[in-house]
Amino acid sequence: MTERRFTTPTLTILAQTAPVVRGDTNIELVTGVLLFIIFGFLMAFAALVAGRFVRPTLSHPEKEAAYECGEPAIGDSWVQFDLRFYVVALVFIIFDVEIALFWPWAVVFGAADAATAQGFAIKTVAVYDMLFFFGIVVVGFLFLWRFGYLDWVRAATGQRKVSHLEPTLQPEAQV
Amino acid sequence: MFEQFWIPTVTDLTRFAPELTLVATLVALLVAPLIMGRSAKTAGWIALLGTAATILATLRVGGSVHAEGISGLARPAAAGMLILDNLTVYFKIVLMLFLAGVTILWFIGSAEKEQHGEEFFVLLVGSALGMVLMTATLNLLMIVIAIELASLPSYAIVAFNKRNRTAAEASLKYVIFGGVSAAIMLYGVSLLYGLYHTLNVADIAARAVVHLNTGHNSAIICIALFCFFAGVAFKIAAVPFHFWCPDAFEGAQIEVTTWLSVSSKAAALVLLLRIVDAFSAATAAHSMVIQITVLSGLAWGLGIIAAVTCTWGNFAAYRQQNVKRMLAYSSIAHAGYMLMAAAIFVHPNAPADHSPIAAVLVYLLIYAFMNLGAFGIVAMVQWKTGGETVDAFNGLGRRAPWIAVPMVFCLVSLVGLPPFAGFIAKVWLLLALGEAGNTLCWTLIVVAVFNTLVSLFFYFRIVKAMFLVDDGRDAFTPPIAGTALVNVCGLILILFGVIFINQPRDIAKRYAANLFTPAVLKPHDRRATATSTTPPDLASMRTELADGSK
Amino acid sequence: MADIGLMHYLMLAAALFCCGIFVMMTKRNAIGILIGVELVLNSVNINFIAFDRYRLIHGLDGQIAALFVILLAAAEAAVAVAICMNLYKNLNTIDVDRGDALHG
Repeated sequence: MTERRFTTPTLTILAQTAPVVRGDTNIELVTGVLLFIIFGFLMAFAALVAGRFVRPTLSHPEKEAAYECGEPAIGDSWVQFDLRFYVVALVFIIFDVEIALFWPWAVVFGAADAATAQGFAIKTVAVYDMLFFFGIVVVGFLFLWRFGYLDWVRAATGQRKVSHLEPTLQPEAQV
Repeated sequence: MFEQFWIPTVTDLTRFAPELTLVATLVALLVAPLIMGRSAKTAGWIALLGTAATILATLRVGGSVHAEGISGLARPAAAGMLILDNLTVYFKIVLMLFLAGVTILWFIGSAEKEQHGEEFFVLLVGSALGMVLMTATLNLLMIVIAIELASLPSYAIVAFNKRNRTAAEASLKYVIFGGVSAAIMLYGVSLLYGLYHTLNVADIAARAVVHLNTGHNSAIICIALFCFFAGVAFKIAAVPFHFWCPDAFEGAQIEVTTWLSVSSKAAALVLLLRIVDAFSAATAAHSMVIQITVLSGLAWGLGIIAAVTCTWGNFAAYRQQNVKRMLAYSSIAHAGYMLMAAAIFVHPNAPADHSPIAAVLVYLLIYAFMNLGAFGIVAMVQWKTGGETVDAFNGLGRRAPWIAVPMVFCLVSLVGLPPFAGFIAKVWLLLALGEAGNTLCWTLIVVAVFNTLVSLFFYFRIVKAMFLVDDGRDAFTPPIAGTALVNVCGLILILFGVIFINQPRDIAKRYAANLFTPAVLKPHDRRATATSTTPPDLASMRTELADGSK
Repeated sequence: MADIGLMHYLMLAAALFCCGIFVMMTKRNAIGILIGVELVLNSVNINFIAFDRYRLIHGLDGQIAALFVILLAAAEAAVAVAICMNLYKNLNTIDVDRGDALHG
């Protein structure tokens, strides 16, 4: 581009890249993202600098508090959750993701036409496949259930010995 | 929609009876306590029975293995999704024998006080299933799944003793290194898939070889292959990826250490041999120039890693006080020796008779016995005296001569000195290296011999402690069954080292031959199985990349 | 704007991969490292899906691979979080630098 209509440096860059933009996707993308990042940082930085010059600096404890609405803050935001939530979450993840494997199975099963010989064979095999797969998962689940890994209050079901950790967990069981 | 749909027949399934037996063992381990109540010993017996059944199934299947190797459970039979060939049969038998040995060790030491026997064996057999699958596939996705199936139970089983601080720390380090390397490996796999639109290693190798030679996309291929290799090297514990190994081995319960020290490395090595074989098979169709440039590059890369792994393992073992940790570094060094054979195997001058693979197979078999014996004795010393440092072995020759003598056998065999089996294994390895007769192989032989000398010093520290140092510790009687187990191992080492010198090699040669060679799909084959009539995917990929990068 | 092509997805995935590696290298908290691992696995998924979408011959390899990557990520997270909990019970911290009993 020979003619320069823009005067500021940033806009000059824009002007120089403008004709290229039409032909080349990558440069357009890179320029766009770069400009976005640069302007984003500049705006945020400008706002902060402006704020620093304009605002009065009167600091007192309540002003310093993270949660500033007159209500005194209690404790820390980094509280520890009960460890039992993690166990439930772990079991949940396994069953949640297991459903994902049902998806391709369901597509095949649903699309097969039971009227044709091949479709019927596919449906039969698919049912056995899923019984096998789900059977293994269920066996694991039964194991967890039977031996008390799913109980909110860990009872001594099937456990020979209750460990020394558990009595401390029981009083606060009902959340 | 279903024209390419394929339903496995009963014959297809019976070919994979060993794997199915292992799955059945896993289910039985979980169902048995539901019916009969929890009992650690029952779990142990189920695992032992499952192992025996798997060996029987493998022998039965192995008798019918086709000379060319069979790939089952995949539509084009040559795709290599799940492979049955001589190599997998051999590996399964060795791995199951070793699993039985570990189970016996567990019966001797931990069965009495174990409360969670079911979980222990589910994890152990689960990782064994993963390792069996690792050696039996040439599909990238299956490789990744098998590696994860082998790794995830290993992470958990390292921390099996929940009250043990070091075990918790060891398993955390193991899971973090493992997770990172698995993620990086998957990124490599996704790039390879994108470049070649297939997950079949043979197809990828066939095209990558051409590209590596012409330089087309070679940078991204190298990155992808390196990322992929990181995952395999993590399992082998090759040097830049070995950090987990000593920590996990030291922190874990000793049966687990014994198990991991052989099995995870063995499985990953066999997997590596298979991949490397796919690459050298892919170059066979091309000119000599391609063979030399691509393969010698790969060979040198592997060779350097092997040499560094070996040297690092031996030198780091030298300054260890903890015997488990020392043996962990020694296992890194032994993985280095076996990697040397893999490096030679991929070299264009490699001997045509698969002798490097046979050497690795012999080495694996003998290494399993050496490690089972050595770790068994360390385990008994630890159970009886509570110590696992070199000091705990002081005067063992007087205190418990029946385990001190087999310990000497195992250690001398680990060094690789006659008249024990370790010497024979190393000789076959060096001979296989020597057959190639090029610069790389001579370098590796020099490194291997030098390392044998270095390893002499740290193995003999234990021998010295047992027989030359005696600070008057109490004598003890090791468990009878354990003494029998380690003496059997020692006896086998002598037998293989003195009388049956050639037999393991002959057997291994028979099993190393007729490796499954996947057929590379030609573009028109691929089109026959696909629903579209567009040109071959490589061209489309190229135009796509060109469109994007303009 | 021009059409979004394969390269854009690949760049996104590469950026995510770098973020994941960066997180893994800088975090001292075990859960933080695991989050890095998950980022990398997500970048892998983007790669798989994009490559699968932009191949001209239809196949499901990439989509199935992505499904299994999700599965592996979940299984790994489950095991890793369980191990972190175990470490927390033993050491009262999940800072990886504090695990210093094993060295040498």
